Amino acid sequence: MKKKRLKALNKKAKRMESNEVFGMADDGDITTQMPIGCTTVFDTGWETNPRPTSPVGNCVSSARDFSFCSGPCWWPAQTPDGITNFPGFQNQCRAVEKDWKKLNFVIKR
Amino acid sequence: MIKYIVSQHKLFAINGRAFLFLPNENAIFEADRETRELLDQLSGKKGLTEKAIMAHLKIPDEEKEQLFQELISQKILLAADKKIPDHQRFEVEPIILPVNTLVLHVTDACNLGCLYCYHSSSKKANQRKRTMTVEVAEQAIDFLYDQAKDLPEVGLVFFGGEPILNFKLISKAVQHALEKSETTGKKISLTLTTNGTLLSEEVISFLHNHQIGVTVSIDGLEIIHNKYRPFPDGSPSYRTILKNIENLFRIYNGVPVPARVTVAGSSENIPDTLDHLLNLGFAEVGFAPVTTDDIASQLNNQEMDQMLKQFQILSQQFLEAALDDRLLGFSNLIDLLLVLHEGEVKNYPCGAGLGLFSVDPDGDLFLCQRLTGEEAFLMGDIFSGLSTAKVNAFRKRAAITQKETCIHCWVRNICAGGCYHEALVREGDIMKPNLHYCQWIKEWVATGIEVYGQLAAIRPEFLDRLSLLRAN
Repeated sequence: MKKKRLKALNKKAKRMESNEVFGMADDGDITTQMPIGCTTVFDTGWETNPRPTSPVGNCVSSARDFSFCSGPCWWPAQTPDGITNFPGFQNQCRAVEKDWKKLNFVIKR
Repeated sequence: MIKYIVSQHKLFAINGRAFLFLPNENAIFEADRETRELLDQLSGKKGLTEKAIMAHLKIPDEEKEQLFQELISQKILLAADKKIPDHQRFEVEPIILPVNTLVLHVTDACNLGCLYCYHSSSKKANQRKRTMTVEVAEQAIDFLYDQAKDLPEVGLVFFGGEPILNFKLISKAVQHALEKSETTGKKISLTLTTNGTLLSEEVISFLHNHQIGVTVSIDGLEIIHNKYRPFPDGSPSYRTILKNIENLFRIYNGVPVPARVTVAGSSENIPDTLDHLLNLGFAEVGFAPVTTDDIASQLNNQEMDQMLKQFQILSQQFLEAALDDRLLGFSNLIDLLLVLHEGEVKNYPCGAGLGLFSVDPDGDLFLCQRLTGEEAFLMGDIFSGLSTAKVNAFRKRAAITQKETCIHCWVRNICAGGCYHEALVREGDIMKPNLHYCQWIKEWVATGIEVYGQLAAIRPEFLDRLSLLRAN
């Protein structure tokens, strides 16, 4: 790896650089008002990512998939990536609120 | 093909270095020359393809790819189809947060007649001067420990009026607070803001023995101080305070005592004032422009500009001292540097109504010490508790996302609209952003980022030590 062109200076930049979650619940509960962890309700209302950062409008747990998995929240980081390696993964699950049980494991070969 | 946009950012170039500030995250990076030039060229352009972005670069191909990936991973380049608005609404959960700090308004009375005081404004001057009783103070302390829920530490501030006028209450309240600390296992930090006129050796020894942090309100140079902070009969207060603070520094024996200066009228003396107060023995000095609805006393634009220039001169002095491993006790900059160091995103300008409340002599709870006694900001009382409905309504309305004029501003996550009391006095509504000092705040934060960037690049360990100054 060549010398980085952007050098993180403050703590927030260092967290971003080390690929931790940023702008979300780690900002402290007072500032974000966001719960941490999963919900059993498929409702993206109260748990919608409120930040002007990607992924806009996704639920918190899903948003965390972009960076790290926290506490009891297990599923997003362990969901196979549906973009590159397992594009058909979610096809068996048309409506996630009804069909989530059909989601299966994948084994990377 | 993926198209990109450049996210909101600010570049600060100084002394051959360039610092990149990302307003969404409050993150600060040092950018090299290529990155800086690239961002300059891409600024304002839309629908950029990777190829178009690369075409701007005059560096080897593999380095182009690396730079591109860095910009993607730090969210400086964003896929255009995921165009991110500068703000999103968020819902406030209907819960009361733990209370971490109570400001006890132990008396309305004051033995000085400061010309600019918000307690002596015409509306309040005629009100009955109330004094808190020991019972109310103890009940307030119980309320604090109870409402702190699981927090390991709470803060109690003695405020007024002049709090030492009610020293009898303070001594009893401190005992009670320390006993509660013992039984609950929660640590407590005790602080007091005083005008310094009543600091007898007995009072100072008590404060010192109970590790109470003392801030002295003093306006600096004798002639200015006496002009704005006389006794009610007009006689000067400076010499009285001077004698007391000599005892204070002697008894506190190295424990830092900060000074708080109100800037009224001319702001040209700020560096001299800082120098003067540090020489007297204060560890730090913080400056705040006077908040008043009296137009004659407000700092006008020219005076605010002058204050900014003075702050910038002091910031340069601070930087030079820091590079030489010395601390210049300029609180305004120290506070700003620490905010920048953490990079926390703020949805609210301060803790008022979140974890901090003030208690008036009758036990009523208000948003903050400056709004004590204002009926509109009554949030409950220490006997029956906070009104969940009122607190939540406040939190919902006060969030930065509700301030339409702020949501595109690049300092929004630092300033968050500014002081509620200032907004009430100057804009007529605590929920309004302080538009009268927007430009001022932006330039001040820009100065802070320039100092921060240079320190972080050259002397990062100084910043870590600096954060210990505010650690408990």
